[in-house]
Formats: sequence, C-alpha cells, structure tokens
Amino acid sequence: MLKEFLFDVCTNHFVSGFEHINGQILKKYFHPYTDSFEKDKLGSYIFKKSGPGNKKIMLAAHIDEIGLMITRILDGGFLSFTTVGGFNPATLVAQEVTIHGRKRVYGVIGIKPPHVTSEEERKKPHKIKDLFIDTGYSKEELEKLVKIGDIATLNRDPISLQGSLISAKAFDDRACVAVMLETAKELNKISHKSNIYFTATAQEETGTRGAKTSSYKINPDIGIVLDVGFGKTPDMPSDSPELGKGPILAYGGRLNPKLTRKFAEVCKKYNYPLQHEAMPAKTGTDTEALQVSREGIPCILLSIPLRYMHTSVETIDLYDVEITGKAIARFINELDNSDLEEILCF
Amino acid sequence: MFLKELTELSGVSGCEYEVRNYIKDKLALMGCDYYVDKLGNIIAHNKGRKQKTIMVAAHMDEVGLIVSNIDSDGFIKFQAVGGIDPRVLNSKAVYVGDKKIPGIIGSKAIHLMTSDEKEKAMPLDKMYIDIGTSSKAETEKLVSIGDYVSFNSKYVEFGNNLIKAKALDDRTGCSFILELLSMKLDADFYGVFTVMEEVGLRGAETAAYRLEPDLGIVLEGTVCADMPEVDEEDKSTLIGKGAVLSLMDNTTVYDIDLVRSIAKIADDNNIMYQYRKSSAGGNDAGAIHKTKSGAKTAAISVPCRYIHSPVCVASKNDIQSVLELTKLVILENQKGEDHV
Repeated sequence: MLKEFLFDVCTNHFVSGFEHINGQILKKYFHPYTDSFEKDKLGSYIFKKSGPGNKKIMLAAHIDEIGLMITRILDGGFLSFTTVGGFNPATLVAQEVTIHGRKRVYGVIGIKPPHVTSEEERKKPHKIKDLFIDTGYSKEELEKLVKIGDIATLNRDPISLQGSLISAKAFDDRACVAVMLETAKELNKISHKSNIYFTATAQEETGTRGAKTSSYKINPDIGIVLDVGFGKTPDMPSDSPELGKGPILAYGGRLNPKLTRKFAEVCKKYNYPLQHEAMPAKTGTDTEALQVSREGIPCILLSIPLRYMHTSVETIDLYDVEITGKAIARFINELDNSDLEEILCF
Repeated sequence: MFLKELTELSGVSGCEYEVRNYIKDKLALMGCDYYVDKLGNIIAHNKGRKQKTIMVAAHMDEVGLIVSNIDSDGFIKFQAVGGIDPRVLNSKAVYVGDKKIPGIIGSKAIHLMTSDEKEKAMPLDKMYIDIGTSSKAETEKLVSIGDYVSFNSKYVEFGNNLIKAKALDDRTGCSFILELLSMKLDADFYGVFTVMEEVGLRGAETAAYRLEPDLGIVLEGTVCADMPEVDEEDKSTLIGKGAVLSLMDNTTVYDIDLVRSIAKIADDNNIMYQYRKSSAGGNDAGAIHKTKSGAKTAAISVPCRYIHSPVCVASKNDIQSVLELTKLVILENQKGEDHV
C-alpha cells in the first residue's frame, strides 16, 4: 500500500506554491484513516484523526517538491526556465520534463553532442541559464499552450530496485507523507487519546512557510516533524546514516530534548531500529517554523535516510518508511499513557 | 514502423544481441536471405535488377556503459562505451546486464556539495550505479565486470511530428534498411546491419571486405545542434529540414560527384535535403570507402538533436525524407545509368 501510494503521489506534482492541483490523491489515501480534513490558507493539507482526549499532536511532512518555472518562450519552440527550490543544474541535463500549461506539454532538456563540445567545455557544469526545454513546437504554437510562470516537472517513472529500495523524484518529502499514512493506519489498531493532525505542509522547499501557517491553525501541544536525511553513498563519510536501518532521530537546539529522549526510549522498548544525528542549530526542515509557532511548540525531528537528494532519482528503503510510521504510532500511544506535562516541563 | 521497438532494445557496442535477434526475426518473417558474419554483422540480400554491388549500411550498436568494478558496498563503477559526455549521465535510470537489472546513477545532494564541486562537472570516475543492493556479494550475484549498461529511455512522440528515444544513432538507419528490404524493390542491394561502429567502425570494415561494393550508402542519425545559443558552425544540421548529405567528416571525404548525384535525385523528386555543415564526427563510410581498392560511399542521415544521450530527438518528416531518397538512389543506380 505504501509503495502504491508513493508511486502514485510521486508521478503527480506538488511544486511549491502549486500544491492545490493534485490534492485529491492525498485525500483518497488519507480519508479511510482520518476523521476530518481542512486546509490552511497557503495550501497545507490537514487530516485529523480524533481522539477522546484534548491534547493535540501535529505530524508535519511537506508535500511540496522542487520544480521548474517557465521564464521565456523562445524561437524554435524552446523554453527558458528558473528553479523553484534548490536544484543542482547538472541533474537537469538530458532529462525529460512535463510543462503544466494549458495542457501537459512534453519536453526534453538536451545539450550539444560531444562531437561539437570541446574537452574544456565538458569539464564545466551547466548553469540554469545554459539549459533550454525543447518542446518540438514552433514559438507561435507554443505560446498558445504555455505561459510564463507555468510550472514544469521532471518525468521519472518510479523504479523498484533490489530488495525494498525504490527510486523516484520527490521522495523528499513524500516518503514522510507515506510515514504519516502508515502511522494513521497503525493508529486504527493501537489506541490513542490525543487528536492527531497529519499535516502535509506546503512550501517547505521555498522556506518552511506552510509549516508556519498550518501549525498556527492547529495550535498543537507537540510537533513531530518528518523529513528526509542524507543516506550514505560512496561520496559521503563512512559514519553517515544508512538506508534500511530505521529513521534518523535528531538532537539539537531546535528540538525538545526530553521529547526526543522519550522517542528513543520507545524505539528501544519496542525494538524499532533507530539512527542518531546531532543537529546543533539549523535543521533545514519544517522544524524551523514549527518550533517558534505561536508561543512555541516542543518538537522532535525524524528523518528517513535518502540518497541523491533533490534529484529525479531520490532513493529510499520502503522498510524505513514502514518502520518509522509504526514507531510513531507506538510513540503516540506511549505519550498518551504518560504525563505529557511532566515530559515537557523544564 | 520498426523504429519504436528498435530504440527500446539494448545494443551497446559489442553487445548487439537483442538488436541482432530482433532484425533476424524480421528478416525471416519477410523471407529475406541473410547471414551473420564472424564479427556479428547481419548481411541481408535484396535480389533484383543489378548493375553494380550496392552496400547499404547502418549500425546496430549504440553508445552506453560497461561495468568496470563493484565496490565494497555493492555500488557499480563503469566506463563509457563510445563518445559520451559524462554530464548527460547525472541522475539517470539505466539497465545493467542481460537481465536488465534496473539501476540509477545519482548525484551528491546539492546541500552537501562544496563550492569547488559545484564548479566542476562530475567526472566519470566519480560516478557509480546504484541497484539497491547493500554489499559487494549481493551485487555480484546479479552483475559482473564486463556487463553492459544501457539507458532506460522510452520512445516518445511529441511536438510537431518529433520523436524522442535513446539510440536514434543508429536505429533510424536499422529501421530504414528493414523498410527498404520489406519493399522488395526490383533493385539488387545488400542491407548490412553492422556492429561496433561507435568503438571504431569495426563491423563495417569486415562486411565491406566481404561484399566489395561498387557503391556504399551509409544511413545514419547525425549531429544536430540547432538549439539556442549554439554557434552557427556547431549546429551542423537543422531538424525538420530534410535528409542530410555528408560532404566531409573525420573519417571520410565523400565522393563529390556521388553526393551531387544524390542531391539531384532529391531535387528532381522534391525531397527535402540539406548538407552537413560540420566535419566533426564520422561513421561507417570511413571503413567502407577504404575497403580493398576503394568504394565510392555516401552518407544519408537524419538530424538528431542530443545525439549520444538518453534523449535523442528526431523529426518523422526527416526520417521519411531519408527513406524516400535512399530508395530512389538504389533504384536509380540499378537502372544502369551511370551515376557513380
């Protein structure tokens, strides 16, 4: 089910600022496990699973993804573009794209062939301004289909690799939206007293904006922020977190220390694998906004290890998604059976 | 009609099995005589009226990668087969080996790149393929050094009659020869599907030696760089402007009388054509025209944008022009009128 959800949600786009277009997909998957739905005014999706108690726990995983925005329509049916969120231009070379114009327009971002490219040129990475989308239309035809400001996304059919590894675009942060789905499902089996708000936040990639507005709207007692972390590859330090070894729990100044320890205890108690990471200050996640929402929200941050972040071949282990979803459900259950005030008291 | 299927087969130089088997099946279905030579070229014979020996050649192989090592964590190192700009490999899906194990070539997260890394293109020796295994032993069960790797890229039609696929260089040529053979023309010619063009015109050399043609016609997908901000002299050809006639490249100075005679056939029959305005690159003509005491050879090509990448682009109109022109050139040359 998680894989089906991820493949479905990752072949549709939710570029920052355009999260409203494909919302029905989220609703389809979350409605069976939640009781009510609302949105904040920036486009964050909030699915509430009600409990008998009065505490509010907010889970936050951003639904938005990085994308391209059309800036110029050129002769010969080529398009110039800028980026929405942080792209490495090198990852855009020789990619297929869809421009979400009046209709879906197919395009490719090609480069000069090696035959007419000097050795010197090949050593230099492309900049965004050197790249063009080739649509195969004339300028006049294209002007009827595409407008400046339209969004384009990379085409990538999700791929099943060996074992439970999968690869696609936008697992940052849909992997964690899938974690929330797993938690929602699991909470049908494990009791909970708190009201749980599964929040697919908008505009994280452009500055954690949906987290700010949705947390204001929800006004939760605690926040569980879910994002992706850097999974180990050959070009990273040997002690980096690895795929398939559970979520990465963050420790640092922007996170609540006691709540963080509590999560680690629950994982230990129920034998859920856990990896650990120190994040002294900035986390680059929705925590930045959540922690200082209203009068402050005690937060924990869990990351799903992911390889090749911000490329069209982001790679995760489904096992990590599933285990994290289950561990969070257990954590919620344990919190509901503890004195939350005492945990949060300094 | 063959092109979609042909481009979706893997056939990196030296590993043309899938393409060869596909073509053999098609030849058998059309009842065409053929044999496979010692290097793996397919030599098919269309029997008909004959004034001279004509060899029409297209190469089956495509550029790709070959597995060179498997590291301790199971990641796969590779080298390029044929001319590939490493920059087209970043963040791509590939198939590894005969079993077509799905893999990806990733890229370090931009968040982790140093400013120095951002200013340099990732060299080939820093890249690796990830198939999702977690140890060397696990990878070795599925992949061996020497396995070939091809791009995962589907055939797509888009824009104004354009197509995108991998390996348009030179599955366009292979599809032309299959089309020509299926026409059962009353004009004798050998349709030759060569191997290992991308690694030095190997197959064409032995096939030409065997056939000793009076006339060689190479059918190709060729360089086209008619994109914004490319210098005029680098554009080479223009997409949608018809069949490309080569004058000179790195491997051949084409017989000018032959080239002009082909241009005249195009003129007389209102077939759109253009001259190739770059001498970069080369093709099987380089081997064919030097065989034994020499053979006059022409190259008729389809302009292909982004050639040697997973996303080659060509125009169906140009494809039609090349097919039509080649057919007429064959017919004209077997009429007995001396165009050579």
